[in-house]
Amino acid sequence: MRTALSLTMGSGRVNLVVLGFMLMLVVAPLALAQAQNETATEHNGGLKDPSQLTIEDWFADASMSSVALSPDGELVAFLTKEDLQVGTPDGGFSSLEDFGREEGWSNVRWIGPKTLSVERRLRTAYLYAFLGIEAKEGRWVLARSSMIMEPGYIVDPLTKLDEQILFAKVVPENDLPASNVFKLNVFDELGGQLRPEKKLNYFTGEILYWMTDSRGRLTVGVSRKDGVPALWENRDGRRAWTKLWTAPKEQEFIPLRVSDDGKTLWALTDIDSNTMVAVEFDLVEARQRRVLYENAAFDVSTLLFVDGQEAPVAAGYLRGGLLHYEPLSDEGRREVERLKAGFSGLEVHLVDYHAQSGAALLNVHPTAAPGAIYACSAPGECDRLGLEMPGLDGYELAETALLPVDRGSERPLEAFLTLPVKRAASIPLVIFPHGGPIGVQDDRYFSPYVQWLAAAGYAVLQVNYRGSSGYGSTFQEQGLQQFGRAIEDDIEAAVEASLVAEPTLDSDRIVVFGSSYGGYSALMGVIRNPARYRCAASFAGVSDLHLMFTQAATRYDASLREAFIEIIGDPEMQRESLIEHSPVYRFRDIVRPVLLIHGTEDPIVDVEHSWRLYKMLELASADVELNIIDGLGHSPTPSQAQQVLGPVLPFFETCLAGEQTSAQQPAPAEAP
Amino acid sequence: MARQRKLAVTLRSHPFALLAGAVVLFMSLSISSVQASERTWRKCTEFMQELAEAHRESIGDIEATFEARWNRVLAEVPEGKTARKELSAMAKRLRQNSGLTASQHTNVTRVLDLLDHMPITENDLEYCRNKRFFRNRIETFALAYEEEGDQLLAELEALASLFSLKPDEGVLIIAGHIDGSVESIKLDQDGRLGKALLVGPYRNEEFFTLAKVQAGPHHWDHMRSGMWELNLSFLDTTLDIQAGALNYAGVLSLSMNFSLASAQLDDRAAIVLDKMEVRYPELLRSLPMFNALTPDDPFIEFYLREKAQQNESSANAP
Repeated sequence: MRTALSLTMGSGRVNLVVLGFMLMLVVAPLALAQAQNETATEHNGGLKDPSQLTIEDWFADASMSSVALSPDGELVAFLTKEDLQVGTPDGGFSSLEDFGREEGWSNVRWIGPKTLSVERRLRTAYLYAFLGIEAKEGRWVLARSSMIMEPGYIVDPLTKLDEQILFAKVVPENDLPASNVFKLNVFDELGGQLRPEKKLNYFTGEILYWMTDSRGRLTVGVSRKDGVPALWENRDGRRAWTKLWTAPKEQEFIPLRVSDDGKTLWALTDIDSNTMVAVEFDLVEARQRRVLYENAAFDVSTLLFVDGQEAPVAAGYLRGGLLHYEPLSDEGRREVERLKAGFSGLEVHLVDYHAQSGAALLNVHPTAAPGAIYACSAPGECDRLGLEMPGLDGYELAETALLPVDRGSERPLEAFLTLPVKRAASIPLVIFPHGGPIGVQDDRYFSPYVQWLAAAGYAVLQVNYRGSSGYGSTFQEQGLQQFGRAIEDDIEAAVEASLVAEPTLDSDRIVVFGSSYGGYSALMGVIRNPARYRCAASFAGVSDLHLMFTQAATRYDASLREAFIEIIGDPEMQRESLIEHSPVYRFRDIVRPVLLIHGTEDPIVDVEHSWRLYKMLELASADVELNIIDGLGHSPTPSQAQQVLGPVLPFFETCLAGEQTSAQQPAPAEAP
Repeated sequence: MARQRKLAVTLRSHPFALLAGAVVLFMSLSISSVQASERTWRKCTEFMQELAEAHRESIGDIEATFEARWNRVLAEVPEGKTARKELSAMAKRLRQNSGLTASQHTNVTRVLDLLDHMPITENDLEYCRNKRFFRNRIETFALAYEEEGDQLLAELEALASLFSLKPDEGVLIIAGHIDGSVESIKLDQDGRLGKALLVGPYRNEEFFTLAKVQAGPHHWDHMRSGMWELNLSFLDTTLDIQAGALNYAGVLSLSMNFSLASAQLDDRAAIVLDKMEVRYPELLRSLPMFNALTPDDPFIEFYLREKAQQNESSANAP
């Protein structure tokens, strides 16, 4: 069984499976070639020194996000920090104020040619805003709007039916979350349309997720009871939905598309495999018809659908930290080849596409750089809408290389080594373990953390240690209950491998920095191997494994407690082990300088973790610095990045300034 | 009529006589006015001095009473061990950190300084025209100072009572912060009707206080603000208060804004220990500390043991 829940941060990339749901691939070679040329020019020659950039530059709010093409391919909408922009590359963009990311809005979606939705996450529900726009004096203005605040989600935007959507309202059903589906006209009075008698589904039991066909008909329901997925149907239009199929055990099953004849479902699953595979499911026979693509070493994370074909044409998976597409058909092969041929050396991702007009939105970027968004009105006619992070444009970014790490009889690890742009003869190394530790992975795409450290002259090592996602369930399960143990063995193996692979790395100047589990790993690093690591910086790091069970978030959430027991260990049955692997109770083993940074509003790893370790280290008169940041959560917003990361580089500089001395191991503290 | 005509003729004959008369009249009026004004200022000054004297007297009485009560509280602590010494140290710090000094500045020093110099401007004379009002106003400063002292005494009495716990009593550490305002938060003892503890009011602040409570299981029952009341039973936490001990009970995180209310009980033992070390180190030395929120959490016991060992090592160091 896989556990999706994790202690994570910005450095880790969560499984891409869900992203694949909406992704359709179409390639216009001329357009892509043009985009490639423009982008390549920007990233070659005359590049500026990235060490001039500040933390604010590296962690700046993206200038555009959630880019979406209207269903008729005419208009583009995207979010900025301040507003929602709507328009065309030729005609210019108009601002719809009050709907920017700053106000908490996200996920722009077109629900008609002139109607959009944006959503805002609240504590127990979502606030959806529906915005009807019209052209007025050469500008796009808000003509009408409505809002709804419900726990639920948009099942289908029904773009062919302007101003109508299918909305699933989540309701409790026998103590399990389930949902009812309603067809809403978004500009009519919404409350009345959500009355129970208006729901489209009857006798649906515990169905939470719904799938529609291309005509917006509810076709398949998905439930998950005790982690075991099941599919439901209402064949022949009968009112009652019946359970069609139940998975044999608690496994992943992610349905992505249903055929219009209702007979086939395309999904990703690991039910009969160690890795996530792409399957075709027979809804008539209620069984898996065939495996479309399986990779024994890597999880399939996305399926690509080409317009005009119901079946997926390619399966995508992360290998070596980069997304690879494996064609599933001749058409898919042609599309993937055209994609690769047009953009060798650059990453191209289709953001949105309109089949009839050929309009497309592309995200194009070199591997480790943030993207440029292009709007293509037709093949060969692309305009650059903008850069995701214009403040980094023209600066030389560091490349990230794959570093295979041999583990003897076990499968090799994937680690990633980024060397600084300015290479010194001897390069200090920052070990930067990702959060999680379970179900999260690092990759080679743009990371502001990695680039910021590399720009400061550090090499950066990231490790997809056991427990990371993307390498199959066995590998992921190997990380369970390995806090401070086998996971750290993997990280240490990667450190040694990096020193062998890159002789310019200075083995006497290695520091470790991470957040969440990564922060814990940093602390355990200096506990386990003080001779190797000169100091540790922990942001939002776990310091007391027992506290993970007594902090408020866990005490009030039984399912979270169960998940933590699986990931960390049982606080009752494995009490001694939890104590043994907690930096708080190993404080006398911390003989290297420690920097602790924590937000007062961290809902995942409570600020108490850093306080506990600080109190203990203060008792031991250890070299410790505690930075408590008021109002900060588990990861910094762009405006908080300076406050969080500002002390890190000066701390590293100070701890690396002195001569390397062999750390003395003090007498261990008596166990509590 | 003839006399009037004669006078008119005379005045017409001697034009300077009219001017001279006007000047004489003006001067006599002015002198009279200045004399009256001087009298007013003098009387007002005398009134102010009288008030200052009365204020000094009141403050003297208040301070004498305060000191007597303060010393009585300290003296009433039972002999034995180091309780009296510890309480004296706590009392000293309590007084230093209290608002009494600020209150003395506001309500005594500044008031007396003003009274000693008033009236300063014409406007100040108005106070002397409303003597009763102004006397009452000055008395409120004395009352405010007295109230500050009473509050401090109450805190001292509460602290002192912690040194004389009955066999079935423990000390509850109440820590938290509130966004908004709350009139009271109620702690109930399980199965004991009427055995409730009310704390508050609090308004947009951190709070950290100690209370003597019966040993046994307790729970936070509700918090109230105006017509709003939030039932706290959803916290679903039993605080198992131990007799003769300081009882850590987590940190309440409360929000009470208009109709939006929320509450959470965080496990923040290190933060509470840090506050105890700063505010009540003597109590921390005098009483054992127990984790009434999450008894299985080993941190408090571990920290205090390590600290004791550290202190012992320091004491034994040559």
